[in-house]
Order: sequence, then structure tokens, then C-alpha cells
Amino acid sequence: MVITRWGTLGDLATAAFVVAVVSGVAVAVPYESANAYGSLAAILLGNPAAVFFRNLHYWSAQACLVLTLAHVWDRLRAPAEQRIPRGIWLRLAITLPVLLFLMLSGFLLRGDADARQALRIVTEAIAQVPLVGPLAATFAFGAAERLDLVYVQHAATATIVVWLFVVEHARRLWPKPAAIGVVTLVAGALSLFLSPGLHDGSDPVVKGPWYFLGLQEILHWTPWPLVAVLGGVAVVALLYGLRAMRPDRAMKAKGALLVLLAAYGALCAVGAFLRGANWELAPGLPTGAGNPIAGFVFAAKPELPVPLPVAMGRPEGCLVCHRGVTGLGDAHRPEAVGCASCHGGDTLALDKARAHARMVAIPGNLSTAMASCGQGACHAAIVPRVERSLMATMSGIVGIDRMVFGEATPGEALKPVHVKDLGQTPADSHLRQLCALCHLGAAKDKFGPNDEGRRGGGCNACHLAYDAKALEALDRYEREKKQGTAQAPTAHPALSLDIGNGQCFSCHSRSGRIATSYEGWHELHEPPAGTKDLAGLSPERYRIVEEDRVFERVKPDIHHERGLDCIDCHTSIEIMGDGRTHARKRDQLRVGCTDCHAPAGKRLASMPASSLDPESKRILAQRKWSGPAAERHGMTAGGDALVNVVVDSTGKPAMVRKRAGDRRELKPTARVCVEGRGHERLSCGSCHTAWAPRCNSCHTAYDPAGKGFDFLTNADVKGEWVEKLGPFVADLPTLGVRGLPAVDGKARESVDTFVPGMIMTLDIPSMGGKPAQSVFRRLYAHLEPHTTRREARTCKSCHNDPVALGYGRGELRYERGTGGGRWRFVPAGPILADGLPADAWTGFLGTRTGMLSTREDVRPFSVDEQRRILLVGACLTCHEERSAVMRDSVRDFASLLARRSPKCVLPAGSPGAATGAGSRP
Amino acid sequence: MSFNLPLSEPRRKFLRKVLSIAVGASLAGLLVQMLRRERESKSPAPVSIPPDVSAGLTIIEGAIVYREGEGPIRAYAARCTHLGCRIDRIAGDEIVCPCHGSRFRADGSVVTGPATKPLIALRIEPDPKTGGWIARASA
Ligand code: FES
Repeated sequence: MVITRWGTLGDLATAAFVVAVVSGVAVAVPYESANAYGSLAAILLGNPAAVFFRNLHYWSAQACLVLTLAHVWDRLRAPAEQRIPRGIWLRLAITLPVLLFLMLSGFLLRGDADARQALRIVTEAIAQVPLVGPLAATFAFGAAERLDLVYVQHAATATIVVWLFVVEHARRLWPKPAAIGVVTLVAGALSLFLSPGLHDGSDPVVKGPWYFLGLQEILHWTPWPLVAVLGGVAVVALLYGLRAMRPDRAMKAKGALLVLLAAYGALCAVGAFLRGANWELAPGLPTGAGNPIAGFVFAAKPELPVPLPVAMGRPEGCLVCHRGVTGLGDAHRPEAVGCASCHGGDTLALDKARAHARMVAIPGNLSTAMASCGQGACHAAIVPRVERSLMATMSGIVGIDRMVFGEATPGEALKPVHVKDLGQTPADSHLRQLCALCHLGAAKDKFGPNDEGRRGGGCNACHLAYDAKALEALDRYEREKKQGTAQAPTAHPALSLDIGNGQCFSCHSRSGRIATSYEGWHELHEPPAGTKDLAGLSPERYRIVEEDRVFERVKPDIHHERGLDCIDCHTSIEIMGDGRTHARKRDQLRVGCTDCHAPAGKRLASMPASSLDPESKRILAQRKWSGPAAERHGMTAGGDALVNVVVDSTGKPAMVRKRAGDRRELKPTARVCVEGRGHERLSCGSCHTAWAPRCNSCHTAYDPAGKGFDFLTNADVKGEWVEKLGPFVADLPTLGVRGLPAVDGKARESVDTFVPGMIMTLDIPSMGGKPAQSVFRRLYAHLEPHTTRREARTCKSCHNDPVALGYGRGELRYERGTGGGRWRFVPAGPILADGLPADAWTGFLGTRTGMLSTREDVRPFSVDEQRRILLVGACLTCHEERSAVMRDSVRDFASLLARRSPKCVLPAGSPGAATGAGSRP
Repeated sequence: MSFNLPLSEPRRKFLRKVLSIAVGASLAGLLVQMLRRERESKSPAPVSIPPDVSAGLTIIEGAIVYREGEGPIRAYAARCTHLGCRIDRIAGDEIVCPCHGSRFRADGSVVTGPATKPLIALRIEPDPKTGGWIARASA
């Protein structure tokens, strides 16, 4: 038998029990079972002496359990069971489960998230025992998760039973004073520095007390919870049975019990160290909110406000120090949602280190958004949508890049992929180095607004807005941080629907450059000749953005001129996604020009305000525009609501600027847009796009010796992708044909705007990839340049223009001869190996096959289409654009042709002409 | 005053035994009855679903609500069918129990255990007061 200086293990266990009872009586004073979590939180935040007693209660109880087990084992080794009368032995065997109940009920009385779940689990597990189960569960825990009953069973019933049985067994009322002394000292020392925490529910990890983690693990593995309950009963029965067994059998049974205990201990360790949220594997130290937290109990506390600040229905210590934080906007006021619902941390600790451990300084990144923005009570339905949306997946960009590199067939490039799954192939490493910064999953790791150098950040990428006050506060904070005197700023950036263009600009100033083009800035390939210092350039004419990119002022989009922001057209469902994964951007886009500009002579489609979808209603309520609520709202062709398009009782539509709340009249399209059939297939942008940024050639090579940066892992890597770009020009876009979703089974097409997407040489040998030669790609890309103007481009700019027709720059001349006219084209630039000018999409009156574009459903004009366009072009060589003849041509070209004057010289071979054919130069 | 039945000692012993068993059994019976009534009287409170509940899966108090676009609403008790844990989070398209990791689909069926039974569907009734719905345990 183990005998220590302070008595036997049994003495020590009893002493621990007595200390637990006495300290329990002390904690009972500030503890309220009807407000378990709240009263414990108040203790943790503002009553250090009570914290001490609670800790003492906790640590002496844990000691009691461990010492009891040790004592039992110590005595079974003896073997002592034979010396104990049968009745007492029975009661001792019963004491073990009662003691366990005492421990467990103590855990349940925390009333925190872990405890509430544990209460449900034990109640249900016991209730599953046939016949007696339901009643036993009701007897012990009540029928409706009532802690007051648990409290009575804990503090009275179970305590009395254990004490009675122990006293009967030990034959003394009080343990030895020395044993009480040593337990008090050891548990007291622990109590000064280790306080069991409370789980406030924000952490998705749910765990029971340490001695039940093995049970939780068993319950995870077996579909029959009864097995675990009956297993426990069997162990107690076996223990009781030992006394009646033959000594050699009893020895074997004890061995088995020891092995069981060891195995159970191992399972507890698995639960503690290997399990994370949703009981998934996540190895790590147990640092969850419910675990003991280190920190001196009597550390200096700031003065506590009475009553304690409460947020989301629970006491929130953060607000004790971070008082008066402003700027977040109505929905996210700290007084309402607190700090921890976004930033995590320990809401029940007032010393900084403890409170800030596990804090997320910048919440909203997609990697953590589900636990902050997306938690149950907040935006749980939106975060998963955003995670699947194109701005997060970059699916189209990834698929196309792989296709261009020859790593995916066009069919494969049409499957949804996610940028976070990039591998290490040449295409993927190219994406990692050149593209992977511009997606919502890119982590925001610095304070401050996003800009062209800082992108991503999940929800923050759009919804976090710094006003002047917040910027100034951040500035001061960063300055003071360097001097070590920083106080957390009280001016917080806003979290709101007030999403300015700057937010979009940070990513969309690149590639198609729609954000810069929209505001009328065209990027120059290099600074204007003779520039010595970029800062010296006139800010009226030039704009310098991150990385010394120089933009020149050109014509902005008419919508920008009229004060519309990106979000005035683009809806929440379009931007954050509809919850489905899409392969390409076009699949996620949902708005179009005619959703606001009704075709001439028609009414704008609209829906009654009562039919708005829930999200639109919420947005509308948030916007708080002044004036009476609209009765009808606009809608897209697909039926999405446009909250800010309002239609009055006379059918007159207007757009409410989302951020400003004022109105802009919405005009229908011009009559000419819907007249005749000549321009039926044209998209609005084909005519109304003023210019598009074009980069006609580039060369992409890989320098194995260079130093690159992988934006996906945020790490330097060996080997660098180098892009040599050709000159940029702001020019009218090329036109081509784009497939549209079929309607009633009928395929549709539209004429649309295109720019050179990738006319480039991929130096594949430099990547060590196959094939061993450079690959040349001549791909145009469909682009909505966002440079819409009220005035349309001229007729000649399409019908008589080689760039518009996809031939590239050069001279397109109409020569009249005797057998009819002939168009001739002389390219301005050199002819490349594929026989076409450098900037061409297709040959003059020719066709191309193979990879034509970044999309599979677009193409340059066919030869027939080119001929028809050039036929009108021929007319335009004599007739003025605005002449009656040309106007008639839009309405009914065929009859005009039939009525043509004998003087008209049509291109040879064109429909309606007698003879001849267009010829190539 | 005392009243003594003329009984022999063994008989008296026997009678005492019978009496105590009878009293004990009646008390136990009463206790069982009390516990039963207590259990029966506690059924979960109905949950009010607002008319603007968002599409997809949402948790509202004790109910998991599933709305397909603007389509009909379905609701399940947010109570895991394994051991009754409160389900308080949605993981992507699935409903996950935090306690032992059971996963359910939006139609309530089990993806992975330990749970073996689908989530319990709640009865949905329109709520004329709010324009939304009320979800309650089906009788
Ligand atoms: S209670 Fe849900 S998995 Fe166990």
C-alpha cells in the first residue's frame, strides 16, 4: 500500500473531496444556476477571490478523481477487496459512478457551450437505456436542460451519497489535517495561476471534460451509443464481482481493468490533442476556450463598470478596455455585437495577453470568415456563397491559363476549378506568380484599405471602408507602435454596404482594366517621353498607381460621369455569387444594359416591392434612402431584383444611387437601336464602347535562375516568370461574334466587343516543359471595356475599319473596277509566322480554325459576315453616314439594295452584285 | 392505547415485509409517474421563421431551415439524431454536428455517422402575423 507523509492515497482522495466540498460552498455564493454562464463570466471578469475559490473547487475535484482512481488501484493490488464487508464493497463500487456524476455535473454547471452540449448528450445517452433510461435521465438531469436540478443533484444528492459511503468505508468523519493541508496547498497553488475557461460558443470546437474525451471518441466511432453506457455499467459490475471471484481469476480481471483504463486514457489523449471542430482530426495542443487558461488570478484589474458590458447576450470583457469604439456602422456597433464575435480572443479575461491570445486581428479572410462573419447568428448563408464565387475561385483565369499552356483541353478548361488548388505545372506556377494575388482568398494581413498593392481579404476586400478618421487613427497607431506607446485606435473602419469604386479598383485595374477604364484612365506602356520624375506629371492628365504604373486621362464611361458606382449596376447576388460554382465569369454575370434602359417603345421590366427576395429586402432596409419606398423595382432578364431601380406608378424608371441615395432618370434606348434588322445582333457595347485598352503582343518566358514570388503561399521561390509586354493602345475594340445561351432551344449569337487577349509567345523551352519549341498563341478575348458613351461609334469605324473587322491595323481600301469593286487591305505591321499581321485576329476575308479565343463560344466574323459588313462599307465610301440612304440601310438593307442607283458599285461577288469577288492583297 | 392483533411472530414478520414492499412499490410507482409526467410536459417550443429567411441552410433557434431559392421552406429540429447535441453551424452544403461529427444533407439525410437516423422534420405552417412561418414538432 502506498503511504505518503500525509497519509494513504485514500486519505488524500478524501481530503481532496473535503476541500472540493468546502470551496464549493464558497463559490455557491456568487454562482447562480439560473444564469450559470453569466454569473461565472462576471466572476471571471471582476471577482478574483471568487475565481480563486472556483479554481480551488475545480482543482481539488480533479485531484479527488485522480487520487481515487490511484487509491482503488493501490488497494486492488493488495488485494484488499476480500477484507471489506460485502455491503460496503457494493456501496464503494457505486461510489465510483456517483463520483463521476459529481464531476460531470460540476462541468455541466458551467452552463457554457461545451456544458450545454454535454448535458444534452448525457441525458440522451442515459435515456437510450431500455426501460429505466428515460426516467433515470429525467431524475438526474431534468427534462428540459435545467441546471437548477443538476445543481441540487450535484451539491446535495451526489455529495451526500459520496460522503456517506466514504465515511462508512474510512470509518472517520474527517480526513487527516496533514492531507487536507497538502491538498489545499497544491490545489491552491494551481488555483492562483490556472483558471478553467468558459466556452462562449464562438469556437466551433466542442469538447467534454478531459476524463470524458475518451467517451466522446468512442461515441464518434460507434453508431450504438448504448454500447458506451452499458460498457460503463459492466466495468462497475466487474469491479463489484471481483470480491466473489477466485483470487487467480480476480487477478486476471484486474489486469483487464488496467488495460481498459490505459486504453481509455489513450482515447482521452486522442480527444484532447487530435480532435478539432466537428470532431475532425486537427492535431494540436488543447487551447480551446473551455480549457484552463494560464494567468495570475490577482493580476491588476481595471475598474469594472457595473453592470458588465454585454454583447450578443453574453458578458464581453473586451468592451471594458475598448470603450467608445466608433465608425463600424449600425449593424456592427460594438455595443451590439461586441468585439469577439469578429475578432475572437478571450472575452472573459481582462489582462491583455490572455484576452488577446487566439485573437484574429484582421477577421474576414476567407480562411477564417466562417467563424467570424459567417457564424450562425450572422452571415452564415453568404460566406459559403462567396467562397464558391468567381472572385474567390478565379476559375476562368485558371482554366484558360492551363488551356493556353496546353495543360488542359478546351473542354477541361470549362470545368470549375479553384485557385487554391493550383499545382506546380508551368501554367500553375505562372498563375501563382502573376495572378494569384487578385482573388478574395488572398489573405489580408495588414491594416489599412485595399489598394493596387494590397488585394484580397475575403469579406473585407469589399466591405471594409476607411474614412478619414479611421485612416488618421491607423496612421497614429502605426507611428506609436514603432515607439512602443500605441493604444488601440477607437476610430474603426466601417463594415458596411458603402462599397466605393476604390474597393473594386484594387483588382480590376489590371488585366481587362475595367475599373480604370470606367473612370477614364488608360494605362501607358511607359511614362510619356521625356518624363524625369513621375511625381512631376500633371495630376489632371496622369495618374500614378502602385508599382509606378502611369495612366493617362481619356474618356470615362458615361455612367461614371453621371456619378454611378460599380455597385449601382452590379448586384449582391452577381458579386457574391448565387451559391453555385461557376467555371467562367460569364456564368456568374447577371445584369445587362437593357435591365435599366428599356428598348425604345417598351416598358422596363419590374416587380412589386413585395416580391423582392429576402436579401434584396435586407439590403433595401440597410440603405435607408430618404423618400417614400418604391412600389416597384427593376429586375434583370433572369428575374433578379434590382433594388435601386425604382419604377413609379406611371412606369417611369429611375436609378437610386446606392451610396448617395439620390436619383437618376433612366432613359430608354434610342429608336435606332431597335430599328430594322440590320443591327439586330449587336450588343449595346458594340456601338457604345468608346475605347478599349489593347495590348497587341507579349512574350512570356521563365527564368529558372530568377527569383520569383508565389502569391498563393506568400513565399519567395526559385525561378521567375517574366512578361515582356508590347505597347498599350486605347482604341476602339474589335468586333466579333459571341454565342449566347439558347432560348427555346434556338442558339443565339451577338456581335460584341473584343480585344487581343493573348497574342503571345510562350517560351516553353525556358520552362523545361514540352514541347521543346516556343508556342505562339493568337487569342482574342471578349471584353466589356466599361467605356460606354451615349454617342455610338461611327458607321465607318465598323464597316470600313480593319481593326473592327479583326484584320489588325493597316489600310483598308475600296477600289472600284469594271467588274465591280474590290476591297484591299495593307497591314501596317509585320506579318508573323502564322501568316497574319501581329495584331490580327483573323485574315482579311479569311477564316481561322483552332484556338481562337480565351473562350470556346466566340469567333471572328466569318467570310460571309465580313463580306456583308464590307458591302455596307462600300456604300459608306460614297454616302454620308447620316444620309437618308444610310439611315434606310439600317431599316431594310435588302430593299435599298434592290432600289440602288446604277452608279452604285458593289464589291464584286457580294450578295446582290453581279460578278467578281473581293481579293486579298 | 395499543392495539395488538393476535398474530404469531413469523406471521407478523411476514406481514411487515409485505407492507413495506407494498409501500415501497407504491412510492416507486408514484416516482415513475412523476418523472413520466415531467418528461411529457416538456416539448420543444415552436420556432418562428421570418419571411425573409435567406436561401440555403440557416439556423434559427432550435430549427435548421432550408430554403431552395424562393421555393418552399423545410425545417428540421436542430437536434442531432445521434445524441441530441444542438447543431449550431452549417458547413458548406452540409449540416454538421459539432459533438461527434455526424453530417447531414440539406434534405435531412445522413452523410456520415455516428448518427444513423435523418434529422427530424418539423411541421411548417404559415404565420399570418409575420408573413413568415412557424415550425413545430409534428405531433
Ligand atoms: S450528438 Fe451529434 S454526432 Fe453525436
